[in-house]
Amino acid sequence: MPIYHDGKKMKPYRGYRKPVNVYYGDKKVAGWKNSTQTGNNLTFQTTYNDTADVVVKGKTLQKSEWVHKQGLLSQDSTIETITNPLSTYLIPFRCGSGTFDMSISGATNAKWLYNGTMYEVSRLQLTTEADEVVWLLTKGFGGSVTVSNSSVGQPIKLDLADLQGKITYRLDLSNCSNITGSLADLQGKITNTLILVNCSNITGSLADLQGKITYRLDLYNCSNITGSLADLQGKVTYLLDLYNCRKITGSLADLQGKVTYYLSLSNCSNITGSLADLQGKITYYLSLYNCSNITGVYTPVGAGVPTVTNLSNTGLSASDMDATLIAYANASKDNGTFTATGMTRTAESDTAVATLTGRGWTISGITKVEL
Amino acid sequence: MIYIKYADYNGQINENEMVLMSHDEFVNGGKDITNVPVCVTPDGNEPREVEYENGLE
Repeated sequence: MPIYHDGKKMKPYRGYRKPVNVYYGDKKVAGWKNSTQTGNNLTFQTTYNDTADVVVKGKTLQKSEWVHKQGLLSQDSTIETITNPLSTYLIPFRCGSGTFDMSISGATNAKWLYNGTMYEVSRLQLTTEADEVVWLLTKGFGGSVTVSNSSVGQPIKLDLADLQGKITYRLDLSNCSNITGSLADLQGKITNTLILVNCSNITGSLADLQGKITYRLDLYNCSNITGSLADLQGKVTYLLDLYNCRKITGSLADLQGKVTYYLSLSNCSNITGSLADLQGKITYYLSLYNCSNITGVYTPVGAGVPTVTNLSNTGLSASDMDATLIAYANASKDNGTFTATGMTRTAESDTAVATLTGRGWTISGITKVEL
Repeated sequence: MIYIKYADYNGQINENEMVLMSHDEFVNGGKDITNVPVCVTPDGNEPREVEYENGLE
């Protein structure tokens, strides 16, 4: 069952004409094969880096011999015009059973191949069976390549090395919990966004990202990741989520006050620093629970009041908590949530708690103590 | 977490319990409770639990 595209039988190659085989289940649908000829002046066409074994069979008294000929590394373009009809790059997405929903942008002539059918769309949505493969085929990659997964829970078995370091702008494989590989496989090429939420098999270090990511880094529950916040080089400006990345070290000061929307370092108990290091810029979400080495006061600047704050089981003193609550109350945001289970405050912040709850806030988990 | 309403609080709570009160209850006496964890909501209802934090697009 060959693969046809625009009525022409297709030949899959990788790189500079290196043939590859494409299988549907255990059945080969396109690719290469060994070839044998018998006769005189034999010619084998459309070969690639091949060898030819020649067997000469004579009469009983004639000496037989073997001749081994090494083929050329490249093809003779006079035999066949070299135009790769399929792609230069093949990226295999081994599937699970369910909805496959993946998008690509920024690639040249990108197509998807599944079950013998070619899809010339940027976003492929279909139902796949377990252990089948959706191939991403492209002629090349531009400067802002984005690959993103839109289906929650699709157990794609991609290895980050399969991406060949070609994703340069945004990679979102959220909830693709079966993917493997190391951050090093991305070759430090991604410059804007990397989202690997719940990809708990991923290894590597923040240093592997080479300080290139400038907007969003979301490694939620990637608990094998190592490295230091300093490895991010203060470049992340919008969202940083390292929830449950327990091996991460460094200080809040390493973020250089650049994160402005969302910061979660919950369960990263090795991280140190002061809330003051955040420079009061976070507008939506601040969660540092179980970061027992973090101390200090968060003082909002302008709109930098997190709508959701969780400072449970941190290293803040009662006076740190008082000052933080007072600073929140002095800002103008209404309707937030402030959780600090296991933490204490004093009468100094009574008015602040009253002010905030009068403006729609919930203040939860704090024990008032007398000093 | 188990919430004990401020009206039902008798001065003692168990582990994993927290006193729950409204803004008005806090202002009118609840702020003087010490040495027990407290949850203050605008209306005195239990706060919404957030199971999965990262729900961003």
